[in-house]
Amino acid sequence: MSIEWITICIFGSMVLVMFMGLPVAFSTGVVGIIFTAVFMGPEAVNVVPTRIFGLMTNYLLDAIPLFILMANILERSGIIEDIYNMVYHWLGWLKGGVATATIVACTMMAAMAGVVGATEVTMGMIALPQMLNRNYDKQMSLGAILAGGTLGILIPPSIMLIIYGMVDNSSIGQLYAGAFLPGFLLSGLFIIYITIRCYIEPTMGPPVPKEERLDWKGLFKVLFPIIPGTILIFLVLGTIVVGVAAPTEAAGVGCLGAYIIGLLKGRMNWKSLTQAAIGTIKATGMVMWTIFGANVFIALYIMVGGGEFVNNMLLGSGLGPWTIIWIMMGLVILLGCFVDWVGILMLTIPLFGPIIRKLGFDPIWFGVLMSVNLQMSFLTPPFGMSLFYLKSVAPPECSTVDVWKSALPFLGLQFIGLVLCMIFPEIILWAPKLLFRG
Amino acid sequence: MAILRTFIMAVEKTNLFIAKLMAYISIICVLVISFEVIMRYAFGMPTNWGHELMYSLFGMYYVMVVGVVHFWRAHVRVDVIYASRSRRTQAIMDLFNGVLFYLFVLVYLYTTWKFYWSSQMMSYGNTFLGIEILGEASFTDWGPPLYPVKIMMPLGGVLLLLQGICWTIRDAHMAFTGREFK
Repeated sequence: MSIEWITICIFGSMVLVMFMGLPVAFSTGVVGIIFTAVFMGPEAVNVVPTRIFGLMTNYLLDAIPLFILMANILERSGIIEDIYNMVYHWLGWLKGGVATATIVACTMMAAMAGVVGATEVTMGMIALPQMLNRNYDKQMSLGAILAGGTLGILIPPSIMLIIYGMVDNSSIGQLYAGAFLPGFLLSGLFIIYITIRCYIEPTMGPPVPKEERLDWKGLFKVLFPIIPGTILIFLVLGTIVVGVAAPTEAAGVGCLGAYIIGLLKGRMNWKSLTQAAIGTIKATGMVMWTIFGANVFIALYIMVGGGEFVNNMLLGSGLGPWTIIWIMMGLVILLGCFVDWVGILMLTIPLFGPIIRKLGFDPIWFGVLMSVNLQMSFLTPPFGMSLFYLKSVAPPECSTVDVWKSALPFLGLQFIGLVLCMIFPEIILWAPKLLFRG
Repeated sequence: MAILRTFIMAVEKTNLFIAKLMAYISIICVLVISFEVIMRYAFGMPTNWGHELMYSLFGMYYVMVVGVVHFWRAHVRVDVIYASRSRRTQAIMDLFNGVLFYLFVLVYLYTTWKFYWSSQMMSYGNTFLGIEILGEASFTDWGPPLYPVKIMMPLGGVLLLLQGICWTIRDAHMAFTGREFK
């Protein structure tokens, strides 16, 4: 069978199985196993445990449960509420101030958590009712939480960049350094959009009334509870970006630090620690098994010559390097509508990575670009994780269609951010060059 | 019916117990890595076992939690067609998916068991009271045995298989009667 037919066969059956609703981890795994047996003989299936064992004892990947645990501990010690409360009082006087505060609080949370769920759900519970009570435009409120919460996957410590670094063999410190500016750029775009909309149409987001604003003393008082968490995160991220500690080490010590902060605040005990750890199992198990399954699948595809096939098809097509990048980005956006980000990363990076290097692009740049792009996958219906998270906690008057519609302008902004990062690669590469390449 | 109910309860209780156990393991991992970091950076005395102990424990953790994650239905799905169906249609779809699911689990079980067993049967010259103890050891300085980690792979597979059977019982009940299995 020629490689074209093999490609159609195995990707076709994978899509079919996935759309039937079999979990991504098992559908990629089983299609991988079946076609390994078909193309290489039943004995070749014995390679499956070896692959899984390699991944499960991968030192770098252990940063995933550790960062998720750290975020869960911080969440249970009430840090999201503290941050939101602080930003709300500092920025509430702006038109659209509560929505802006939501974005800023989400950005700060994103620097503490590598995942999206916790921020999205908590902000949906504390910020959304507040905005709706203040007669904020429904779509604006929902959109701000959706877009803000999604930053968690881009701004370090990001789980996505750890997986990218592991699959692509690139430096996680450099990826982290490169992801800060694009993250702040997106956050800035969201804020500019909200502010402009609210100054044109003040009914969309009225400022907090004067009598509810705090004086200077009050403003500094709300600042104090977040100081320990901020110091912790500067230490954790600082050591990774500067290259002193491996991500896994920094994450582990970060967990300990987060627990101590929780203890000092009196909001953490043994029971809430075990709850945080059990919550971690849910997110980690899902991510790790999708990695295992997708790895079995893509390893098979590369063994039957898929890597070369994609390589030749893209490089031999006579298209310019930038067209190829655009094709890749378009493909990832399309996949993002249906498949979750772990699956997309695991399936595309082994194919794209070598091509990027051959085209002479910077792999660090491409890695961060992929992350900026994959943020959109959280907001693109029908399968956008953020949409589900927010819908699950939103009050009943916000319908699914409301949530979907509210994501659209912010999706547009994310796309603008992506294009900016492509036109001006320096947005991504400035920090890694400064820190690592002298 | 009563026996099925008991079976489901037994499996799910076991999986939840495993989840608790693994939660403690992850907390131990945090302590191990923190100890290692403190010894290395504060005292300049890195251990030769910290990293390896941590990633071995996490390796066990990943493969053992697969059952309970399936119990929570937290393995992410492509929801385009699935999510908008009625519960009964979902059950019927899941019965079809079951064929591939069991194929995956059985192949996983068979291959990981072989993988474990070959590791258990390797001779690394470890002796205990003059009798040779078989079993693969790691090549690192610390050199712990590897088979305790490898045996967790088929064990986790068994947990996943049992949990899958629980869902199949529920789905079958739903598909044939239109009511939840209680």
